[in-house]
Amino acid sequence: MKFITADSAYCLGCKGCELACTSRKASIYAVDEARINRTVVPNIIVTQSQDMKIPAHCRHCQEAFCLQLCPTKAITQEKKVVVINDDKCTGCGICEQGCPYGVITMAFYTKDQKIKKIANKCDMCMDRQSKDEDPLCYTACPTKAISLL
Amino acid sequence: MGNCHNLSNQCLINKAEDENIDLVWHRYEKMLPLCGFGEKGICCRICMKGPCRIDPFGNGPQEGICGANADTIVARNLVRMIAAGTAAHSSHGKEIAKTLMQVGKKTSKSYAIKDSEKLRAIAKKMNISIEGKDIYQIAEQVAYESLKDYSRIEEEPCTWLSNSITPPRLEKLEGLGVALNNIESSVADIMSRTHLGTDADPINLLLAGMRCAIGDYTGMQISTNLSDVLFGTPEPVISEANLGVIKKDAVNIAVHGHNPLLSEIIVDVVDEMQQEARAAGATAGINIVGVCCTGNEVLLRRGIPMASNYLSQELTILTGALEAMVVDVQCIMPSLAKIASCYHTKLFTTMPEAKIPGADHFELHDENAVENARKIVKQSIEAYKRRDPNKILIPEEKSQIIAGFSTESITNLLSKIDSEKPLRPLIDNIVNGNIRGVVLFAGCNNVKITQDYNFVHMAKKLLENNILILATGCGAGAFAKNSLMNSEATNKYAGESLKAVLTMLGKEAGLDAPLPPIFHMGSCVDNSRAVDLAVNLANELNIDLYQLPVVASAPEVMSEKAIAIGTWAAGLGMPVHIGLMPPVGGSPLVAEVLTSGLKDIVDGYFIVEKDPLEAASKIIHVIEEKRAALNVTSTLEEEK
Ligand code: SF4
Ligand code: SF4
Ligand code: SF4
Ligand code: SF4
Repeated sequence: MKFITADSAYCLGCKGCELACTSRKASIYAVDEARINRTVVPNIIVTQSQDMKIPAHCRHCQEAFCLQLCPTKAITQEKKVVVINDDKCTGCGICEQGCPYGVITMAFYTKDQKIKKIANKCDMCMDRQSKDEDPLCYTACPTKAISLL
Repeated sequence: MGNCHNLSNQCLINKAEDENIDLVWHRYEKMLPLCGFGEKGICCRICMKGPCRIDPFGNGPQEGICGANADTIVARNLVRMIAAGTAAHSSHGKEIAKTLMQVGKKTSKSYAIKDSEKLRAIAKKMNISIEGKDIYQIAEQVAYESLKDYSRIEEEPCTWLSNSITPPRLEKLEGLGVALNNIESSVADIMSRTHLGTDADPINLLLAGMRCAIGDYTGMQISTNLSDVLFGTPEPVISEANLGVIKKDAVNIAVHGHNPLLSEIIVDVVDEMQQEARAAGATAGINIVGVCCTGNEVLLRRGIPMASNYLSQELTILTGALEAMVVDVQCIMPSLAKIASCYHTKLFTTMPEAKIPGADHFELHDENAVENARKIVKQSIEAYKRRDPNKILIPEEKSQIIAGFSTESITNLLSKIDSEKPLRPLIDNIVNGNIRGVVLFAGCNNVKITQDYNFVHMAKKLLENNILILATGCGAGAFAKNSLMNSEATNKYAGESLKAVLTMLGKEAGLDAPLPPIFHMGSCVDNSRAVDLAVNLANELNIDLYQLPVVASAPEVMSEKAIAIGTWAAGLGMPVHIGLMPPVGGSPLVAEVLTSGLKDIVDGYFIVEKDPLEAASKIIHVIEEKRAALNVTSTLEEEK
């Protein structure tokens, strides 16, 4: 499994990575669960502080706070990737509070006509990686501010 | 970092937050991060094979799909900005010239000649014989010859270029092939050569950009001069500035934009409608206030108070006491319509080329200008009745200003000291070092900088160092609002020798106090006035413009028009400070040409410096260098 790292010295804030991440998520949810209308949010978030553009992304921490804090054990580590199980997540938002990098976002989606709030984070494009494809944000980054580890 | 340097405005920004209204600062926050490809000018959207982006760090693509590299893309984008600025300024001038033509043909219903003396002087300057002609015939011919600058086929330079700069400068521009013959074709030329697959040489592109920018200058000369003929040449006038000029008990109408054709008529019809406004309950009658350059135009000629410069234009509506905003062209935020809809405020558009969804459109053609202006004022009075008293919050602060420093009014004033050679007192004081030099502040506000902060801080430091300041456009607005354009400011901020000169001039002008340390010369097209003054000085001294200790600065630059102005100012030989990097960072070559290579070709060049105090130091250094080169006292020599 490859992991991403981002160097803000090369980031131009074009949000190409955000767009790529969002489009993948949109395609997954549209194809697999056609009737589910889920708010799609990117899992890499580019912010600006003074003149610096900073792409914030999940570090897949070894001792992940989000994982440790989750009361329903919805967060697990698979092949070193920290992932959330949508069905187990109750949307309490504790992981969002706990992440030191601020890269978990809470989003709403509708299932069985009920609106449910769940946590959203980077899964390292596991589906793509299993097909030997690179994470999409990395592919999209025009300046290679994002690189693979 | 705050939003506005002028703290009195902050209460309205807070009010907007309470009322869930987004202002320019909020929209900016939501836009972050800004895309760096656009910021650096290396995003090309010229054809549909792209958009292409060049990686400035060298890892990704170094060429667009067509093969254009960063230098080509940056240069193409930059000169297109210049072309847009030139188009905006020069079409303003064209409207004025066409109106003068109608006045000359006696077909105009709404306009007349106010300054026939200036008209005659212009005719003389344009080599038009006035012998045996009446004022209308002269007007028609002046308009006709001016309009030729937009359409000339012959290769000789534009009349308003060749008659308004120093002979050596004209020669230099002609030698470079940038002394253009036709303003509009210079814009078309940029659009044509930047089409995919035409000009790829960055230097050739930049030269064409310079030629087009010189067209911007020419259009400004036409705008200023012919506006003076139609509406009068400004004379010193006392007025007030900042949001505090909006009156609680009046029907407040803001005029905003750039072209005085509209606002002059509004100001005219107001007098006859005062009674109607009082009958509607507005005990203070109708109160016209200015915003942006339309505001500057009516301030200089009519003494109309100035409510706001560019960045705080939305706040005029937030006061809850503005009945109408009447706009013409340029620098009008489309957001005004939405914000006006949260209040009783009416937004009126008046030009066929500038409509805004949500605004009411009353076109001010020559035939119906007065009639439509009356309708606008009538509807404003109606709106007053719908005002919600609970939503009113008018910041109290306003500062007194002395404005109206046209080249003519400055010369008239100086001629009281030396009627033979009116410029002599100014020259003498520059030579003896009482005035170290002159800085012309122009240009916009930019949301990336605390509004007016750079203007105010640079000015204070320059004044302290005995540098006289001229100002136009939203730069002038910044100084007006922040109490830097009155006699008190001279006493407070001017260095000793500058203060002495301004006090002496104030006496000559019949004031009991010194002249302001910053001369308000008008709107952004009135940068031509500052050039006229500099050209007169240079001609008197028999030197070229670049030798004068004069620097231009746009510390909060934003618009394409400002890029055009900066470029011609450099082309005329002036060092030009800008407070933000224009979108050229993606091409070190282009950036290098603008900040240094240009100097070898046209003497003028750009100085990019964000920090206002640092910028002021750099300008002072340049001025002292120029003084040393002229062999007059310079601190550089003292250092040696
Ligand atoms: S979401 Fe935050 S805490 Fe959890 S693994 Fe990623 S970076 Fe670590
Ligand atoms: S929001 Fe979901 S994943 Fe996050 S801590 Fe709560 S239950 Fe766990
Ligand atoms: S794609 Fe690359 S350059 Fe663009 S915002 Fe993301 S990390 Fe920055
Ligand atoms: S003109 Fe060239 S660089 Fe520009 S979008 Fe087209 S292919 Fe790309």
